[in-house]
Amino acid sequence: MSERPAGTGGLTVFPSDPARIPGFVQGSIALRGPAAPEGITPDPGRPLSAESLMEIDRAIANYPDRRSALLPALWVAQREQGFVGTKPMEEIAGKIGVSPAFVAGVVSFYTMYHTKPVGNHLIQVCTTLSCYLRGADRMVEHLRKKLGVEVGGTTADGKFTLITVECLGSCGTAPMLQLNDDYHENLDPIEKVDALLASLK
Amino acid sequence: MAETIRLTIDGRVVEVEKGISVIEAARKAGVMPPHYCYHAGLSVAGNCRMCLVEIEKMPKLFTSCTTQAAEGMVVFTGNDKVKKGVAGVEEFLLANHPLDCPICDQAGECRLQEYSFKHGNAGSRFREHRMNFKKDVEVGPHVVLDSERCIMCTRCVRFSDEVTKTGELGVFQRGLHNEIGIFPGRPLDNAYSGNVVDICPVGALTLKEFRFTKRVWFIRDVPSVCGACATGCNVNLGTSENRIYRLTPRENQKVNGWWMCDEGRLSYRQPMETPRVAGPEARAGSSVAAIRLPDAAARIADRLKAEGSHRAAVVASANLTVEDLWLVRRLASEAIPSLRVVVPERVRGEDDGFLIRADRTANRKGAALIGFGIDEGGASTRSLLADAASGKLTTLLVLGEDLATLPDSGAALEALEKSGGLMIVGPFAGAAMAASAAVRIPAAAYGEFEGTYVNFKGRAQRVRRGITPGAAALSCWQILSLIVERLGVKAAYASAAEVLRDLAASVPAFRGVSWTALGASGLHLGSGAQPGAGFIEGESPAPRGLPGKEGVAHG
Amino acid sequence: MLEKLLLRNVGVPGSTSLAVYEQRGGYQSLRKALNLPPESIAEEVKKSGLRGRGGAGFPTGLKWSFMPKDSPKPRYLVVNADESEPGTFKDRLLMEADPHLCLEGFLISAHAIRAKKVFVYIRGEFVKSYRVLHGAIEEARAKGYVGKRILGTDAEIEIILHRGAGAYICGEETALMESLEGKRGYPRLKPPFPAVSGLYGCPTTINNVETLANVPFIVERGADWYLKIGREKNSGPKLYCLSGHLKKPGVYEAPLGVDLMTLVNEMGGGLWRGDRKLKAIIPGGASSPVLTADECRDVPMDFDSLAARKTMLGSAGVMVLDDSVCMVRALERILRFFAHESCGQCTPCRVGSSWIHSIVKRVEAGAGQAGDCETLLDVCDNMIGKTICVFADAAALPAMSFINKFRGEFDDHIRQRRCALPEKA
Repeated sequence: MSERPAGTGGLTVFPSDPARIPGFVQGSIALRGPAAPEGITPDPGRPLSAESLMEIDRAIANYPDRRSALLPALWVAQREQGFVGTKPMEEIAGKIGVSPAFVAGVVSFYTMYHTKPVGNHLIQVCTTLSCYLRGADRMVEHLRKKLGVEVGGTTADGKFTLITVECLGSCGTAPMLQLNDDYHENLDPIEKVDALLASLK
Repeated sequence: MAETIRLTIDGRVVEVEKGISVIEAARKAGVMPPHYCYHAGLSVAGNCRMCLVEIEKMPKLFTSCTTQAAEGMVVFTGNDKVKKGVAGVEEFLLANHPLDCPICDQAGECRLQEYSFKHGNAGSRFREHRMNFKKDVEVGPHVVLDSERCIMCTRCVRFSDEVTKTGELGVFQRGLHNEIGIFPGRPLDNAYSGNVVDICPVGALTLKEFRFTKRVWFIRDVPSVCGACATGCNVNLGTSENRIYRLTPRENQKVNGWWMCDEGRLSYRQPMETPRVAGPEARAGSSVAAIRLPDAAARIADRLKAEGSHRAAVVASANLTVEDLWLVRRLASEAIPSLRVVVPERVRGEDDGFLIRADRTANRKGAALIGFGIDEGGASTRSLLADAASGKLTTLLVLGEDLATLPDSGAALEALEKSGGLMIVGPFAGAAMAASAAVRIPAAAYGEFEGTYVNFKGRAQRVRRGITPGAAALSCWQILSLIVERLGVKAAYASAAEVLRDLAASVPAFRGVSWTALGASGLHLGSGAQPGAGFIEGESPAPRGLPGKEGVAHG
Repeated sequence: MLEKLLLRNVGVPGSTSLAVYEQRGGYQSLRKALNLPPESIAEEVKKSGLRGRGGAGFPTGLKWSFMPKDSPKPRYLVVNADESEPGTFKDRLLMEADPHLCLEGFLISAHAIRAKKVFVYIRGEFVKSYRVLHGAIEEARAKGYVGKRILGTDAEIEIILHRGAGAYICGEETALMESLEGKRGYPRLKPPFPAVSGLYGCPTTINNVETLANVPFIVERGADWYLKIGREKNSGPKLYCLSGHLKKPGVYEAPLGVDLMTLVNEMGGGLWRGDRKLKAIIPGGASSPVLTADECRDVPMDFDSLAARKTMLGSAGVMVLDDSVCMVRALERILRFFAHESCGQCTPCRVGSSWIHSIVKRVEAGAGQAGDCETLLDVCDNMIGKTICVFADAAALPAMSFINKFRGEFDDHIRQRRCALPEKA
């Protein structure tokens, strides 16, 4: 509520400086993602490299409409920097011909684009029904304890990020996980998980 | 004449243009279904699912905004099946909605409230945790976002994509985490940002300048037009207890569509922020004394007569109404023939192709039609100020203008102060230059007078009084009529309507114009054969938005 | 049917290479097809009774016939490789193990609908599928099977691989097109239908990977041969994905209409643990209503038979649940999936998916209240048929089936405020 300044005979005076109205939070919506905790300012990232920009141009040439190259362009940015920062988002917006808010909206819709850096090894454990039936929850718990992180968190040394994801299309070889790009299937008994982690040292 | 079709809505047969949607057909039939995301000025989204109707022979309910009306269609908007569907949608919307009504500005003009009352269920079955978002995020210099209240109708996003084509707003996240937002560092700062507050059906988007100032049920809307530029967007003055609390756009498909610009939206504040004078004053030596209005008018009339048309002149603002300007014309042609009148040009920037005109006055066209040449490039103004500075002009009657804000006016003001010939009538009677005035009479400001403006297209529209503050309740024409009468010319009018009648009888361009004829949406002066009005071109419809490609980054 | 068709190359060393594929008879159908008028291929596919293998079971030939006869606009074939339905993993197998079969299917089908460009939308997580298909396309291009003047004919077909980025809803054909066009994956309003106004507003057909993998066989051996496999109105070979509490989960090929328990016991090896009993089977991916153990007897696994039993074949993701499973917890897991994947565009699904998940989660945690089941059923009813796409139905119908068929477990949770079953081992 705006205060009633003294000397106006009790009338509410319209503040001509809206910034004086208490209670407003300056700023914008934080971009969240599987590895981006709530309420933290988005990471700007770096301007895209010349190679990346050329790769995006090649992608644009594949389609009758430039905007189709948006998802491919975001993959290029993520491949270069490990995540999609707001600086690359702006550059891509300019190249594609859409507003930065549009690009950010697309980034935040798809779970695989990260808006903050993730560990060297992104461990994505499937926990949907079939994997759940074959012990996925136990595997998540095991990894949580072994790595010493919460789900969604990254180890202190920056090596591992642990997240749970929905069905990865590998239900016949449950339980399983995706490590960066690769599937690791049939991870029962749990020793197989330990062996996998050991191989990543 | 477009092809028409006939369909039945709730038992009523209605004939509509082929190709329109069922929701528009229903509107014509007088049974507008409840809706949130649909807006005639934006693309169809069909996402709120509130406008559900039943179409005979179809098993599922249809959203009427996405369905094209067909010949012979039979539509039900309120049977049991539709009622359950609509109540279900309303329940979904309320499920995740915070119980903010006691602190929400939208209360009283909130569709969620209205539809809940009319179409919703009495209680809530929702027992889960509600989504929490930040509740007072500044997304732009004038707009505040409360994401907890947002029902994701995306009207605001479509507005910034399709109308202003600036694309500042986007939808972020997925599912129930969906929220409206801006890109970090790129706020909603286009010239029309306030419109998203109007179209938001709930209190998710609110106007910073209006927040928490007045409950809308105390507000009495007075239909008027904006006076901030030559477009003359139709507005409602939101008044209460003799104050204007906000301006909101009023639909007029010939002028502004559904929209208005931010500067115009906030233009009602200026008269409140300018110091006002309580009553007429005259300078005696170095002191200022209050005098009675007839005396003040007499002094002005006498000085004009004494100095005559060689040493006196009038500066008349293009924000004066046609009624005011008619009295100026009578002063300068009947009372003091050949009295020099200059209407200064007030131009800023360029026409933006949508609603903002470079001409920042409301009635330049009206002034031109009454016979006052437009001061292109400011030459006449400069010449007049030079004459005042050199002493060639000893007397200046300034009507509705703030001379101090004209370029190179300092010398003129100084000279006029010495010669005791600066006479000011207008809402700026309290402004800086007023210290130099010999006589100053306060007059009504925007929102305080009744009159007529003619916009740049030649549409005459009523500008209305919404408030009457204190002593300065007189319009310029009323003060001028005292002056003109003192000069021996009969000019006693009982009302502004009477002035307009006199004007319409005397100036061909205004033939047939009266307050009744103007109504709520005005009258294009080119319509109907008006001898001498041939130079007013035909009127184009209101533009749909800013020119350009949809939704591109700004800058 | 003893002969393996769709899986004939799976497990064969070097099966991903063009050389092996051709050695085993591959690309002969393409050769044949390119010398036939496109309409005749479409007619043959229509006659064969091939129905979409992505989940809806819509007759493929009929879908192809919706493409306009004359249109100045470019025509597109879009391959839906966004396989994300829980319980489904057949398209991935085809793409990783027999990419050339997929390509041959894409090429013949594009030719049949006179499309010059094929966009393959692969879900972002299937990186290996993307790489294998990419390699296969390059091999095929080198041999002149992709690009201009294919096999010396006038045919010109280009294949572009497009990766998704993690969104189940992009498997819905109009959401897929939105995603391909570089937007958030929001399903479109229909009409207009894709064949009239699809990708970039042009005539478009969207087909599932497995569906198109059938096409080379139909062209090679004819519709009459194809009709002999399976059952009436449900013809052809089908890939069934077995997962859950089985000894031998995996992808199995059988004629459409194979008996469910034959599938589960003979091919899947039966229940994985001898001390457990069958409790329930979800026949067609998480979007399909569940069958109790009793209901699993004498069930032909085809589109119409399952529809008659108020469930669906869907993507043929067969998920087997034994009696250690708490059905409340299982439903919670399924609904959590739908709550995560709802695009959020329209009200009933955006709010409803999360609402029903929250109710079941609360009941599962022992905080259920009397009336929760009734509320859930009514909320589901308010979701079904009122949304832009059928995602809401996909979430609501299984939820209703769980409540209706296992009501006792839900009531017990509410009454006793805990789960009666021991913690999952």
